[in-house]
Amino acid sequence: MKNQLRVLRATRNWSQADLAEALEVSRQAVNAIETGKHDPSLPLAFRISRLFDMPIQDIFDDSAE
Amino acid sequence: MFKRPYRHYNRLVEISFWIAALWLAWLVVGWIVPGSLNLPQPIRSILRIAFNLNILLAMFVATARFMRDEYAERIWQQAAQRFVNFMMIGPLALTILIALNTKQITAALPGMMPPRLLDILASEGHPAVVFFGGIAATFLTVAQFLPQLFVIFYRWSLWRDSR
Repeated sequence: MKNQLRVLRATRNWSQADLAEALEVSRQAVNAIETGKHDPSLPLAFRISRLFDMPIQDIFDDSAE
Repeated sequence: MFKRPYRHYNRLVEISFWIAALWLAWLVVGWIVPGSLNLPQPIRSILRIAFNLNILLAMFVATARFMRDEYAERIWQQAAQRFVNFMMIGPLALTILIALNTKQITAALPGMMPPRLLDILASEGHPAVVFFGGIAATFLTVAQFLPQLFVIFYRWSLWRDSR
């Protein structure tokens, strides 16, 4: 699934480790989500949504699926 | 470590994987070229301690659900699937392979001898001891191999996912 995570993270000047810390997951998990290799669970997607204060559908795009 | 355990999970897997890889390399080289690993005794002792501790470490990382975040859990499930596939097919395939090539294998691996204690007991006619000793030796071997094999499958799955 495509997502805006890398862009959103870059706009805040966060490293993957910073984002991982905020989301309480490993850095590898953030990397896997950013590269589209791992689709986050619904609870994690909600945490991401709250962290960036954006609706889930604005961060994740499943139209390519 | 226990506040945010997911931070350390892949690090522990990495440590366990490389010790397991070293252990397997040690076994294979020792079988193929007996006497080729005549390292000084202190180094041998350190390696043996590391190999034995790694059995516990591998058991720990394979079972420590509380240390995995959702991505590590997905990789664990992939590794578990590969592991189960291997365990269903591997032993029978290996047995057939060995049965078909016993002469060549024993000739190629002169260092791979049966356990001496079992030989002695068998020669003195203690079938029950040999039988249960054989079962115990099998379980010990399985207990040494399986957790480390799972760690290797996990590392392989992580590597495949990162490509």
